[in-house]
Amino acid sequence: MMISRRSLLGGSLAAAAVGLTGCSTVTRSTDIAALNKPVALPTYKRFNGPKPDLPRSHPLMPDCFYRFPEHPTKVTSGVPGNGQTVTGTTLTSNPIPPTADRNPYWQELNRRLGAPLELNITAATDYPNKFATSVAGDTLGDLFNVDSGFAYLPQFLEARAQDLTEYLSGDAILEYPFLANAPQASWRGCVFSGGIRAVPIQRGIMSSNTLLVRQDLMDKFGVELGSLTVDSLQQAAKAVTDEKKNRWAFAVPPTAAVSAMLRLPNGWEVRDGKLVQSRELPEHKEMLAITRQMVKDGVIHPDGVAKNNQKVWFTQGSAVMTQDTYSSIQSFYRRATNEDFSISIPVPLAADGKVGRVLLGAPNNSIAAIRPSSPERTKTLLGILNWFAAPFGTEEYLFRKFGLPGRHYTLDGTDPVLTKDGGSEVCLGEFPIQYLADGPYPAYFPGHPEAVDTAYDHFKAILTTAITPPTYGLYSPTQSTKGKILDTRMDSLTKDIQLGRADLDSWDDAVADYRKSGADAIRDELEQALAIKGDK
Amino acid sequence: MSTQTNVYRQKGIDDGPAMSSRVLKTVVLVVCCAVVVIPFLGVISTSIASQEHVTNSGGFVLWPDALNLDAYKSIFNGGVVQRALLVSIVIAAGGTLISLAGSTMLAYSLSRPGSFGQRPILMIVLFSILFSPGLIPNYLVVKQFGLLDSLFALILPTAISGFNVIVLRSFFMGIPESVLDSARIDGAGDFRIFWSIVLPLSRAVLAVVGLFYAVGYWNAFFNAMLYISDTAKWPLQLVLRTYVINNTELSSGDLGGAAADQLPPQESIQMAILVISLVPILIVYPFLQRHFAKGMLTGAVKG
Repeated sequence: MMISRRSLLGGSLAAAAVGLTGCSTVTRSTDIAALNKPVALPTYKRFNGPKPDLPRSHPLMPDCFYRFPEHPTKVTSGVPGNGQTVTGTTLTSNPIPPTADRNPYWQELNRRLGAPLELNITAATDYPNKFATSVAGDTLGDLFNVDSGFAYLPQFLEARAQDLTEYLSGDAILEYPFLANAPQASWRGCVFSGGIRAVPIQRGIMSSNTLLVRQDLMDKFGVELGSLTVDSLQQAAKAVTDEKKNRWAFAVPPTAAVSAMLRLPNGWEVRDGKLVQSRELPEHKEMLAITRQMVKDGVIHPDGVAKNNQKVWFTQGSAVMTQDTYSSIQSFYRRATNEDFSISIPVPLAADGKVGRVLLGAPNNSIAAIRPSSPERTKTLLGILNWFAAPFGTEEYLFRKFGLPGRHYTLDGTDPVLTKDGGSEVCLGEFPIQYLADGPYPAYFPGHPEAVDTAYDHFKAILTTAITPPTYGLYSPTQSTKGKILDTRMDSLTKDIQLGRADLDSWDDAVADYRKSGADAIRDELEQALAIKGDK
Repeated sequence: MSTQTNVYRQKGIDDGPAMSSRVLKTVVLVVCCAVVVIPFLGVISTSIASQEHVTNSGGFVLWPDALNLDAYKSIFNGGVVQRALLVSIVIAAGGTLISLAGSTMLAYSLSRPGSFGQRPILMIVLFSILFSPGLIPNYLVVKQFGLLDSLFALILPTAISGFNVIVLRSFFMGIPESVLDSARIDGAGDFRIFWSIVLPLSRAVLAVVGLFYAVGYWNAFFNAMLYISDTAKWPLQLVLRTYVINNTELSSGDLGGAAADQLPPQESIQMAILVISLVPILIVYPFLQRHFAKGMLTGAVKG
């Protein structure tokens, strides 16, 4: 049975309808003020853990480590659980790990938690379907990762998630020091209808998209990127492309770099007191024209617009540049088969020669919630989530990400390296509890200190002008119910224009229709929400 | 003699199409075949290609330079894939049996005039073809029956296909009433007639409908994703989807113990899983092929 996006949304709406049946107390979807009511955010207290190897030059800069600390400290005592089974629903982007009865890592995790953990794990791409049915069937469990695309999310969380405000708001969070280690920008995404209803799965800026370059290949071909402007990028692209040798400059259209060069807004942006959407601006159309020209010039992999296989092409050298997250750098080095494999991250420049405006990703990968429970149970579950969020460099982190010494990892210097059992049982270091709570994401690429330097220099250059999504944490009912369909329609036209199947000017009509079909309503709701939160 | 006859024979319909027409048809058919065969050849070739060849070919090999069975060895070394293959075989075999039993009995009762509740039951069957209950109601029904995390959740909700019941009913209606009457005169009851007369006469349609059901069960992944939380019970297609559609890397543990640094190319493993998922149906099809045309026409001629 194949499920289309439309039917998926239908499933989400149906699940919301079933899930909210009988809940007469949830906020009406037209009450923007109530849905976006602010709350005192948890106090941010940076955990005093291992000192990063490189100094932080900006509040958004992630901790940069060349290697894992030699003596990781144990920062918790006792176990957070009380022996009672903890159930949960979560996702993974890696192979599914063996079940608890055949997985020594999972068994040790249960022992350290002091509670048997029963997880319902689903592959990331299937998670929205699974989440919708689990909501309807009330089988989410004690802890669950929340599908951010779920319709009527605030009302769902009001009905089916524990209000954590009294446990986490203000200084109350200091009871859970690793959760308090999440910045307030992350907590903004957990506030719905005047309550803290989830905990963040923080990623900081590491989930932002950037242009990654195979520097070893650039050196081999003797091509210099130089100052990264639109022109120099196009010239370098033509120089490295050789179709006969099965090699293209880009795996995918480099929209992140071009957006930064053109200083596009990060989704919505307040200009002259009003919100504008990036798609409405002439700069966005210019970006479409540039990427369309790149496709026409044949510098983008022939399947790069339609198919998502850029990781393979970039690692294999079929593409010399790609667009991916900062956190993906580690996986590229892991996949690489040639020893001289190296990645550089160029700094995009605007037409005036100054550093471009890089669009940073949302501060969170997602959020996770707790089923409504008694105060004692809620505190226990928060204690477990706090344990999951123990930061880099601690003994808890080392176990969580790498398992048991000998069986799951060996040490290369002080860096843990997963064994074959570790890869399978610890899910390549990303056991799915990382989508229930996680510590801050460091810039740490084991075995590749040079990649840490590359990322650090890049962060230092771009963070002064980079922008986070200004509407993150605001709720628009229209965005919730119609946003996916509108985005799909515009993304589809973007591909058509890039591939030359649609005229560039068709973008203007599409934007007019986009505004009429819901974008203007979304704008009004977000403006109201901004006013309520005092940000406008 | 025959040469002389040919010389004087006028051009007629027995001559067949002109040479140009034949060439054109051949070209079109060859192109159509190539469109089907080349991707399939690529899948097989990539599954047996070396890392170097896969890399140089941009991830898809059309003809391997050497035979490399590492991907298959890894898969059959005892891991998630092997267990999932077993689950898929159990579901396809068990499900097909259950579906055939239920569908034939239902279709037979609907084919005999005067059966109890024949008309309303037929309406229900037709209704199920036109309208589907949807994702959430299906899930709630499965949950209420306590089937979550059971392999029966992958069989029972799709056990009876209205379309297949109608095809079977049409075939059964073609069996002469006199044959059944003679059996009745000899003292056979309804079940005896069904088992000893109707089913043996219906091998063609049973083969076709059985293949429909088997392919359906073999290819299904969505219900498993919804209803099965225990990953040890996942069928092959769901595992395949996780690795191919999600584009995730297989770890050595999933493949059953090859050392991480000795893993075959990722693309080869994905293609090998694809081949493995296709082979059982390819093996079964030739045995049913002789029944296929007759069985397919059953539903088309009589409704």
